[in-house]
Amino acid sequence: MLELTNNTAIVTDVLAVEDAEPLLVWLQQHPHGKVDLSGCTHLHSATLQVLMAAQPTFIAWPPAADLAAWLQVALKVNTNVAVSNPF
Amino acid sequence: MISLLQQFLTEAREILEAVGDQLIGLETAPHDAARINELFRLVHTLKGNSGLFDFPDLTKVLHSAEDLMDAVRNEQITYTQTLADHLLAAADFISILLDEIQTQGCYTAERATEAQTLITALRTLRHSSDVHSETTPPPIEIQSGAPANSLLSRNTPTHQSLLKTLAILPESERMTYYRQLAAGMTNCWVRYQPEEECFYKGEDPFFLITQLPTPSWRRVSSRESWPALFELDAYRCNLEFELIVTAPIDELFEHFRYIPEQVIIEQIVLNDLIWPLVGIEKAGIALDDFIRTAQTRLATNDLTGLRHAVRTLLELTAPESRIASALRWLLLTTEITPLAHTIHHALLASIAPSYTLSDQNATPPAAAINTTAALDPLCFAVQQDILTAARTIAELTDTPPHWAGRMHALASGLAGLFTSLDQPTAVETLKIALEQSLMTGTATPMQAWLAAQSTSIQVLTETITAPAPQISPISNGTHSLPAARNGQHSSAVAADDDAKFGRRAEDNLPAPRTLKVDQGKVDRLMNLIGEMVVAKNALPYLAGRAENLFGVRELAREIKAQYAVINRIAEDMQDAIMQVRMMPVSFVLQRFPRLVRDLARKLNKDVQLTMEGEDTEADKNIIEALADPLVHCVRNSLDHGLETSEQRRAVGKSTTGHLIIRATTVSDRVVIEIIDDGRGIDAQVIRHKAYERGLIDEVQLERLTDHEAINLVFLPGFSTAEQITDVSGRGVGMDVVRTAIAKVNGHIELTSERGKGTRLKLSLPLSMAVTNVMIVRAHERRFGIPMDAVVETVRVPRNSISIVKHRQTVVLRGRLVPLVALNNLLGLSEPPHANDDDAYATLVVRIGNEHLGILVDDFRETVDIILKPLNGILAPLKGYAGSALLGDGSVLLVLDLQELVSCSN
Repeated sequence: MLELTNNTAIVTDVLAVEDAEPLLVWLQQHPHGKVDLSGCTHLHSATLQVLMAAQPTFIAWPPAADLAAWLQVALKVNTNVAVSNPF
Repeated sequence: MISLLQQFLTEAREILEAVGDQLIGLETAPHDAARINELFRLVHTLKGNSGLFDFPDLTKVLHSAEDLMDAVRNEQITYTQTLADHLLAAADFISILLDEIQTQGCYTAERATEAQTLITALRTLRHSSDVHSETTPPPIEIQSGAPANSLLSRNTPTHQSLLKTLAILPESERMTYYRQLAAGMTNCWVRYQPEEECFYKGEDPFFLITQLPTPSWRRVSSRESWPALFELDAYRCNLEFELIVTAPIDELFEHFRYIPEQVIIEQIVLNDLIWPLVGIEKAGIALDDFIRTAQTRLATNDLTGLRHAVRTLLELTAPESRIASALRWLLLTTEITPLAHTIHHALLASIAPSYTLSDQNATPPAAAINTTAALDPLCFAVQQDILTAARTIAELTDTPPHWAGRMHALASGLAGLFTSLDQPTAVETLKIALEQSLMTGTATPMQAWLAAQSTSIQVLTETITAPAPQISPISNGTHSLPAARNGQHSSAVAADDDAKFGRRAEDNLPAPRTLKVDQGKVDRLMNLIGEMVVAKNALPYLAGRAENLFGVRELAREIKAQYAVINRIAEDMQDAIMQVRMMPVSFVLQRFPRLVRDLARKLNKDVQLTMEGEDTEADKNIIEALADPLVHCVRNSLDHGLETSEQRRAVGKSTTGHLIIRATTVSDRVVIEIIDDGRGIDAQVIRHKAYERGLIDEVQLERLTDHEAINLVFLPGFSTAEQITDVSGRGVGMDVVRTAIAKVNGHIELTSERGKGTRLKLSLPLSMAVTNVMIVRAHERRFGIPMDAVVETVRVPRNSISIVKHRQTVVLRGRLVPLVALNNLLGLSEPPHANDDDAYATLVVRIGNEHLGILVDDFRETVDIILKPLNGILAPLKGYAGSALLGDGSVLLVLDLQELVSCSN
């Protein structure tokens, strides 16, 4: 479920493939919009890549540790991504 | 849906047959690339087709087979007999599944476990090369000198992608993985690039990824950099997932089984983790003493001493330097994998890239690069590193006491490099440069030589690596991979292959020139033409009636003329329909290469099968009736006829036994011969066996000729096998064959020469559909007698009949022929009628190998009829081959003389 307010996109349960387009439009219109994933159990790859491309600010991460770990790797720039090769 | 499934089943069977053919063909030519490609294509097609239906086990087995064939095709593994065995087993299994699907609509649940066993077997074969390098500890390669020999089999583009990913992991993480691997854990690296259109196929790659066990390392990135947000297409997948997970590689392949082309899965091995050594380059540390000590200790396997030295040096070295990293790895590897000498040597060598080891046993890294390695982009990187290092050394301005040694070392390393690049002239000039340097006491000649070579090596390596520009050499420090890599699998070759197989999808199949028609439809045509023949035959009767009954001779003649036309067309039509039903003998013969191969292996015999005349055609029913008897005969030949190689050698024959199956057309019969050059049949043994089993009496034992004795094997209950094998010899044997052949009006003949071989000759009619019969009269009734049994028709005067042993006989053409009245055979009380000259109409027929004269009242015409077997309550009636409709609408009963005679006896 995707709930779009003036400044926050709130995701509950599963963010489905058909939510990708509305989410993209919203993010285009709200460049400083925030995303709340606290109720999210899974998000479809299409929505994932929208979030990755838009790089919005995230208010909260999903409670499931594994999903949160994946999303943080995918969505937060350079968090947990091991780049340590100085060359 | 049903028809789609039906079509799939039909096609799948054809593909399986073709697969079998290719596999058998590969037996003789295991490196035939065309066959291997064709085999891959077939398996690939079948797998693709199977995906349309919900038969997961079927698809999975095919998938494993496809993977395996792909590996064979790309020369990652070689085609072997074992591999063939497994693929054949898989083909058999799929054939069973297809049968079950055909009959029940699905297969039984137990098949899933069988499928799993097969898949595991296939996977094991596919990964056997990897497994070797992973499970066998990498040690014992001290002598080889090449530090990364265990990697040889893994030099694939995917493996290089793995190395690139591992290179970005910090040293500490790689060390953790090293510990885990050494402790027996399996870590695999997965890169999943979903295809762009995947969302339209209902796929959710991220979901698939989250279903995996929690990875120890992960990365989500975009395949191409993200476009501006307002240009983004949310439904064009641009994601790329990478992860390292502790899971068996099989499970991962299983997890991604539906999208194997979008994932790369590699199992990480110890060697992958060490390189590259990351850190700041620090020149000028005096490492000579340490290297020398370490080298000696390594050579004497004094690891404790070595570790002590390493620790000491580590304290003196800046922790962020590359050398410190190498030292830490040396500590770790000597502790966890004390036997991995190759790794230890490589690490030690990388600590002092410029240092040529004075120890005779060790080879400088450069010398380890062999000629073929020059093809490898990674080697290119290493070569560049060596050259860079060499230049650095040559430019050193200090003059330590060991300056001369340094020059020697430099030259020796470079000599190794240029030998590996197959440039002997460069090596010669290098020697001169070295001498000049040593004489003058300056490095200038060496520097000049290096400058000269740099340009030439640049050109050389660039041309070599050109086909694979996408793989950039691993960038950083010296000796990032001092590996001698196997040029056979070079990425250049792989890239070439990719290009070749990329065209596969475009291959156009020629428009089919054959139609697949359900057999029922042809049978219906067959029946219709049968009725047509009958209807046509009514015309002469009609003409007769017109003439005799109504007295219009003109009309009768016209009807007859019209009949001639219709008759010709009907006969042509009949012939055409026969042609449709004709099938090549290869339909039954094609199974024999496989059968002979399997049996020969089971019996441990060396057999070469030759098949001739596979395109000989005969009616479908005949061909089908041939199948089982032929299998039986071939089994017999293999089991009893052909000897083992040792036995053959002992009697002076070639060790390979020859089996020939030859099909020919002789007038209107198809003749199939099965000829072996085995031990032949001992007539004496047969005689005694038959006597022991009470099949013949003592008189026959004495009197039978060898030829007759040999043909005793056709008696029911005869088996000569000294031991019962699972191939043949259970007492049911050649009699079954003879009965089956006789059922379709065929006969069988056996000739054999002891020690030379055996020849079995099956002769069958080309077609069963139309039977030519002679009509005879007996006691006011008409009967048909198949023409192929009739030898001649004669009139026998009553006075030439003599009684021999209470039986009427007559001497015909110098031969005594017993006579029997048809009325007697049929149980009719009337005696046969003689004609006005007091002679009997006698039909001489052949029954078995005997001639018999049958007394009838009169002969009539011969007709072509469509013989219908007796059905329903008439079916158990003995003595009749069947019935047919005549032109006047009456029913003609056709006699089965053999049965009739044996009944009356």
